[in-house]
Order: sequence, then structure tokens, then C-alpha cells
Amino acid sequence: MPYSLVLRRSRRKKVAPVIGGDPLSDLPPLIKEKILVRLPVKEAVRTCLLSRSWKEAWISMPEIVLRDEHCVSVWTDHWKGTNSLEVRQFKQVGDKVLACTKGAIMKFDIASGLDLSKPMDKWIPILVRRKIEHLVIALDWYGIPSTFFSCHSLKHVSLHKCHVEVPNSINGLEKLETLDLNCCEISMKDIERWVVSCPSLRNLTLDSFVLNPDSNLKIQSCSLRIIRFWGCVRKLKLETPNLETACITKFGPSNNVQRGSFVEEFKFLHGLERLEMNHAYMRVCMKFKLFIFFSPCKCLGISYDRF
Amino acid sequence: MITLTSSDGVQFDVREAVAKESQIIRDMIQDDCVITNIPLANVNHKILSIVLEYCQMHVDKTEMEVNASKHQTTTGEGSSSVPVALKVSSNKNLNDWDKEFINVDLDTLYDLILAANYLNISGLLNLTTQAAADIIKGKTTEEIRATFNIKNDFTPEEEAAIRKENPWAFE
Repeated sequence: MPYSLVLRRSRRKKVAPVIGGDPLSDLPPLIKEKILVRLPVKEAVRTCLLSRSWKEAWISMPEIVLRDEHCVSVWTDHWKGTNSLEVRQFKQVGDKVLACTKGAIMKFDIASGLDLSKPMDKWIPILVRRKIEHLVIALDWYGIPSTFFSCHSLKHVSLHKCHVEVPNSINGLEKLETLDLNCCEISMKDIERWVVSCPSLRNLTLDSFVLNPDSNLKIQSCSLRIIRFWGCVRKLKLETPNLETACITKFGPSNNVQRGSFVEEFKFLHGLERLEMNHAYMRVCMKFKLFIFFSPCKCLGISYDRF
Repeated sequence: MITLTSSDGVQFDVREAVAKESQIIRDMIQDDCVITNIPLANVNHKILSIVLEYCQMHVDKTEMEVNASKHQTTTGEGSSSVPVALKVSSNKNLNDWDKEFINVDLDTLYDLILAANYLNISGLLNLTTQAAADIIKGKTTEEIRATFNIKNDFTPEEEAAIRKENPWAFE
């Protein structure tokens, strides 16, 4: 080796002010954006005051992340209402950022304990118009509006604690690759319809489904490669011939189920390479000698049951 | 092995996997599989050696994980819960390593950002831009200007006007 990589250089210095020049301002605009999106939203906006070259840098930020601690500066005891001071502060930040930024919004990520259903209902159509690709919503029991399902640009969606009713016909979401539903209120039938309507879906996470232990859930998708499931259903039927990885933690009255119905759950998994499951579920599989179905599986894992 | 030559003519022999951490090198190798010497016009030897240290570490860690999971399949299900724990601890180690790695002076940080961008190494670009954001975070406008040597070229009137435009951001 002509130059040893193992040699430690004398570069381990603490951050010190630079002498001469202003290399941060001279960074290409795309890199400045990458730095700005990693700042709390108000701090990113405040960089407009640094110098002329920063004045409009934040306007092309392609990602917007909204958090209570970054948007609300004054907290009162009455933050729970739909029109509290806190909601108004948060709404103002969201409204302004959406109004002032230009171009496509790649990612919009909102998490709040406030009741932001009204502003959110207004923001979703704006995001759909601005070709949002990645949407993350964590708002307590926010009801996802139907305009969401007509979005043609979305690739990644993550919903936490939302209330979801899937419309009868979905005329968007054809590019959706990743769907992550965590603690959402959604019926099994709606999940099934949603998954079937997404021809590009590769990665599905269904976490904390404890709503209906007597229902069966059938996932039908030719595009699906990865599924993570944590929840309580009677039967999880995967009609996913191209599935490569399955992480399944399943609770429910499965101990009383006959072998035949278990075989039904697994017979479509020809391409599975990696399977992880919880102990209780694994025990049933062993009892019924179901592992013949996993013969192509290169990697098998058991995780401890999570309660 | 692949030879990477820095802008100031220093040669580095690295494994293909290490060089392939860079998307542009990955594309070059894919287009022409006999390529063995790649000149990198925009990165000097000092920065390239740091970049390669990062790539080397990340490739080693990934390979360790793959080996561990292979080992797991051959030893059967009895030890199968081990790799999960191993993965978690190795991710933690790697994060700690990254944190120590990025503790550099500002000039080096700029150069690393530019090199990560030019070579298209997404992990390193995320790490370096996050480091820059962390330095900015929590500082007043004056403090940011002082830290990065940014010259305030606004008149006081202009500054007041900008504050007035977005008062909500300055609350």
C-alpha cells in the first residue's frame, strides 16, 4: 500500500473559528439545503439574516420537519383545544413555511401532541399539489382526508396514531413503495384494499394492531419484498410470491388453529430469504412442522416476545 | 484492488468494496469492469485518506455483520437471537466511531462535505452535513457569523426589514 490508511493524522482538533474566507457560504446550494433541513425549522429560517448569500437559502429547502418544541414558543395550560394559543403558533409556522418555500417538497414530517387536524386538512392538498414524496404524520387520532389517496407522487408514507378510512376506489398512490402504519385505527378490510391498490409497494410495516383478534388479514401483493407485522389477528395470510423478508410478531388465539390453516398462511412464500418471528408463533410452526415451507430461507431468527 | 489517485498525485490502493462506497466509483466500475486506476481530480490526499478511513470502517462493519448472520444460519436456531444483539451493539459502536471521526476542524469539515458530495457517499454526506448543522444549532445569528467567519453585508435597515418579514421565526 503506497500510503498507509492506518496512520493517524493530526487532524483531531476541536472546532475552532476559521481564519479568513467564508467557506460555509460558498458551499453549493444543494449542500446548504442539506444542512438547513437538519436544523429546527425556525433556526433554518433565521439563517436568512446571516448575509445576502443566505437570505433566500432556506426558501428552497426540500424537506419540512415540524415539531412542537420548534414551533411553539409559549405553552399555556389550555393547549388541548383546537384553537389554543399553541395550535395557533404551530399553525402559523406551518402556514408560513409552506407559503414561503418554493418548488417541490420532497419530505414533510410532522409530529405533535396538539390537535392540528384543521391546519393539517389544509396542508395535505398543498403537499399533494407540491408533489410530496415522503410523508410522515404522527398526530393523535388525526383522520387522514381522502385527498391523500389521490396523491400521485408519494413514495414513502409513515402514519402514527392516525385514523384511516380508505376510500372505495384509490386513484393515486401508484408510486408508493414504503407504507408504515403504526398504532393506526384502520380496519383489516381497509388495509387489504390499500395494499392491493399499490402496484409499487415493496416495504410494508404494520405495527401494533391489536384492534380485532378475531379477524383475518390477507396481504396480496406481487411487488412486496419486506413485511414487518406486530399485532393481533387470527390469521395472517400472505399472498406475496416475491416476499424476501418477513418479521412477524403475532398474537392471538392461534394455538387452537388447525394445521391446514397455517399451511395456507405460508404456501405463497417461495422466495423468502429471511424470517424472524416471536416465540409463541414459532412454537406453533414447530408443532405443525411448518418449516418445510421455509426451505429456501437463508436466515431464520426468533425474537423474544414483546409486551 | 483498485488504485485511487488524489488531486495531488498520491496513490491509495484499496479493496474494491471500499472504493465502491462511493456511488460515482461504483458507477465507473460497473460501466467498465477492467478499470483499476481512478484519478480523483477534486480530492487531495489529506481528505482522501480521511474519506477512505470512513469507507474502510463502514465496509468492515457491514462485512462483520454478514459473517455473523452466516454463522448464525449454520449453527442453527439455538444461537439465533445473538446476531440481533450483535447488530445493535455494532450499530452503537459505529455511531460512536462516526461521532469521534467527525470531530474535526471546520476547514476539514468543509473539505469532507465537498468530497462526500463529489464522490457521492451518502452516509458520509449525511454525517458531515449533520455535523455542520449541529455546530449552527442553538447559536444566535451573531454567534453563527463569528463561528463561520460570515461577513454581515446587510445595512441595519435591511436587517430590520428581514426581521419584519418573518417575525414568527424570531420569536
